[in-house]
Amino acid sequence: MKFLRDRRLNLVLRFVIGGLFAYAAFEKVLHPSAFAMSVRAYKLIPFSLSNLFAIAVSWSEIVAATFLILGILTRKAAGAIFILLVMFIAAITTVLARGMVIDCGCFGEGGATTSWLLLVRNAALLFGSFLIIRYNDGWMSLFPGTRRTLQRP
Amino acid sequence: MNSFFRELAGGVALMIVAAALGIGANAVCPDGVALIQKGEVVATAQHGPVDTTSTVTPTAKGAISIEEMKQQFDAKTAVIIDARSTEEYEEGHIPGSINVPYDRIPDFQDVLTREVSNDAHVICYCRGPSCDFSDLLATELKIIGWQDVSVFSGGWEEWTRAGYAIEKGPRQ
Repeated sequence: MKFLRDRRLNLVLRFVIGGLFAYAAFEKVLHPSAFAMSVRAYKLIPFSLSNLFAIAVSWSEIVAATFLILGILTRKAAGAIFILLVMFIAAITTVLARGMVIDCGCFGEGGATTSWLLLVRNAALLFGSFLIIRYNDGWMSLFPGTRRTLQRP
Repeated sequence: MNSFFRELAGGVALMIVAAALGIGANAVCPDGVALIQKGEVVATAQHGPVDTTSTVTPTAKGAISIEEMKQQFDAKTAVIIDARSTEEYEEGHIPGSINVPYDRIPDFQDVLTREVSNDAHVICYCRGPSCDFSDLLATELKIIGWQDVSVFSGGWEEWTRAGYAIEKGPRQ
C-alpha cells in the first residue's frame, strides 16, 4: 500500500477535504442561527448550549479547512478535522439508531438528510484525514509545523 | 502512533482557538446570536413504537388533543402549520394549513412573516405521535418570536383516522 504514503495523494486529500470543509463551513459561519437549529434537531447537546456549539464547530471547520489547503500546521489541522468527523459520525449514528430522519446540517440548512450513506462518506473522509496526519511531509505547504521526515523504506 | 495522538491534541488546541475566534466574531457581528440560547423545548412526541390503534392523550405542556384541534379548526381561531415535507403536504393536509417543513424554516421565513401575525395562536402538526418535527418547529417558532404555539401531537395520522376534512395539492 505504498501509494497511501504518496505525497501527491496527500496533497489531493488536503485540497479535497479542505475544500469540502471550507464549503460546508462557509454557510454555517454566515448563518449561525440556522446551523444552531440543525444542531438542536439532533437533541444531543443541551438546548441552551446549541448556539455556542454551532459557533465552535463551524469556526473550527473553517479554520482547519483553510489551514489544510494552505498547508499551515497541516497535520494538526487534519487532526481537528479527524476529531470533527468522529463527532459527526457518532452524532449521525445515534440519530439513525433512534430512527430519526433530520436535516444533517452538513452544509448549512436544507441539505441532505441523515442516512447510512452519509456515514460511509464521513468514514471515507475520516480515513483521508488519517492519511494526512500519518504521512504528510510538508510538501507544498506554507508553514507545515511538524512533518514526517523519515519515509519508510 | 504517539505522534498521531500528538497531532490530535494539536487539533483540539486549534479548535479551541478557532472557537474563541468565532465567539469574538459573533460578538461584533450585527447578526450574532446569543451564546446561551434561552427558551423552552416543546416535547410532545412519543418516541419508539406507537400504538396506532389508540388515541393519544397529550400530557406534555403545549400539546393539544384531537378534540381541541377540531374545535380550533372549526372556529378558525388558530393558524395551523404543517411541519412535514412539501411532498407529504401536497399529498394531503389539514385544510387551510400552511406548509413550513421543519428543516427548511429559513426558506419559509417569508411565508411565516406574511401569513402569521405575531400574536396568532399557532398549532403545529406533523405525521403523527412519533414524529417530532412539530415539536421542533414549535420550539424554533418560539425562539424566532411567536409566543402562543401549540402542538397537535396526534398529527396527520389521527386527523385522517377521525375522518375529518382534508385538502390536497399545493397551498391555494
